[in-house]
Amino acid sequence: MELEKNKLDSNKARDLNDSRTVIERGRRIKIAAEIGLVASSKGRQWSRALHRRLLRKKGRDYSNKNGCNNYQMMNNVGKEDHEEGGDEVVEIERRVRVLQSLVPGGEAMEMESLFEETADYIEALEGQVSAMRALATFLDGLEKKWIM
Amino acid sequence: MQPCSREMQAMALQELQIAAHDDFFDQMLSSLPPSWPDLGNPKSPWDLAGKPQDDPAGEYPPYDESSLLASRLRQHQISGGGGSGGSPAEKSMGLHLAQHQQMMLAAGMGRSSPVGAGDGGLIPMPLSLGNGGSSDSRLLLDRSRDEVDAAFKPPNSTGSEGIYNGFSSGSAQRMAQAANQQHFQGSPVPSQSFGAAPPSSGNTTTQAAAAPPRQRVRARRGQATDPHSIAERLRRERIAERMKALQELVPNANKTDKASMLDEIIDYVKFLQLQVKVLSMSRLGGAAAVAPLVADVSSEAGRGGGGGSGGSDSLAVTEHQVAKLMEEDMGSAMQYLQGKGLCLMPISLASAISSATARTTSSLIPSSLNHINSNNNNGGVGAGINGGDGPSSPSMSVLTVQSAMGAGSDTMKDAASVSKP
Repeated sequence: MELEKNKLDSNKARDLNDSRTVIERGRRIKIAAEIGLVASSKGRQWSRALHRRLLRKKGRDYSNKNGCNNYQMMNNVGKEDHEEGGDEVVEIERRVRVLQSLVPGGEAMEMESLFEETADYIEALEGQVSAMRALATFLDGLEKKWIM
Repeated sequence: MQPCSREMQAMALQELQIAAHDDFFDQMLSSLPPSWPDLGNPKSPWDLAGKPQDDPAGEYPPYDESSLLASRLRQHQISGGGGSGGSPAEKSMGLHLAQHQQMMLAAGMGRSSPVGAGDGGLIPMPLSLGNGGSSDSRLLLDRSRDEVDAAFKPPNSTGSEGIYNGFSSGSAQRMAQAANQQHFQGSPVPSQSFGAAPPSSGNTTTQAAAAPPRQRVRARRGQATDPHSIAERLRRERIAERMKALQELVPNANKTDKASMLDEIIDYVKFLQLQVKVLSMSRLGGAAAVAPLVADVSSEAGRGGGGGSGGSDSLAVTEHQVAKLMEEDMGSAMQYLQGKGLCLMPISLASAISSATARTTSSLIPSSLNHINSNNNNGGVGAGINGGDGPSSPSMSVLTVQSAMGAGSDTMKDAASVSKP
């Protein structure tokens, strides 16, 4: 009996620690974090784009995830700095493109609005990180019993 | 900046409905935030170069929506006649004052709420006596210049006669252009600028002569009058502003070069996103899940802390493993790291974090931190993520692993940092 129970426990433990479940749990938590991000700054373009992305993830079956995005992507990517010549522009534009890929909804933004959105996005992310860190510390404390 | 201008907008809204000219003006002045440029400046270093051009209305298309809105508003006002007392004058003043500074906001507002009926028309335009203030104010010329005179205290009517050119509907556009040609920092109060205009004889154009013919806007030295280049210049200025704001947000932002600044920004955003991901995985994912990992690693770390070289062997193993993975595919490397509860970040941030948390945690910061700097890569190395800076989280240790990837990719910042929660 005990052996069986132990085996069961160890099975459960193995499942809990199984990398897949951990990763899955982590993903779900990350989605929750992104929802938090969206909720905290609703008025911004990036938050709207992130919201759309989340909804798409949820309703993947019946929403058209391809339809709306494509023309958005074609839209403003070309509108960059024409004035300077040669290498510098290419360098900068490359980085701008990378930034566009990082910030949600960035492909549809011009340089100016991209920077604005980036600043807001950075602030939101920092807030998110510190909130999560505080939460993690608290949970850790709960578990290790320094708090309770 | 934005909330400020919104306040101003609300104020503008109220002010516009006030009939008394003087009161309006005083209120407007008093409501300006103190940080705005010196309004009491009687002397405008810049003279009436802002004459609108004498070309037919259609020649210069409004170069952005705000000026389009402005021209529409002007037409509306002019067609609407005298309106109520000084309100057209006030409105036009507010309108032009707003144009220069808050282009973006104006454009946005213009898009969202077009000219309303009657007196409400100006509302979308945020009030600002910023950059273009003086020039704009001078260009506020209105057919109803009597009202303007009445509105502003020192009406130097004779001298400033020439300032008040009548405007056709297209003038708003020209004014916008002219206004934007004069990138003007100080913004003397409109009344005072009118007063200042007559004394400013020498410089350019619009002499006080009665009804002078409209002359071409005299450009400032080294700047073109071409509307496209003006637009470009404005745009570049705006971008520079935003870059400055970003610089304040991002740590280590002392780079002067635009490209390297962008690099820093990109790295920082990636870092933050990664932090969110790792935090969600390693900590909140359930401490129980991580416990066995921790057990192993903390024993390693213990050894690492005790005897530098002994511990670093196991770390080196991890290091090499990660490096190998990184060579093939970044994604798999990241997953490997995440499986171990580790993360990747640029070294500058790592040192910042570790120094910040060194006080709070009783962490064993192993000597492996030293061999970070030994391998010289593109300057990027890793740091540890603090899983929790709580009251001396006992299981905290910072371990830095450096990737051996030198030549691979130019953007790789090459260090995995490991923090064991």
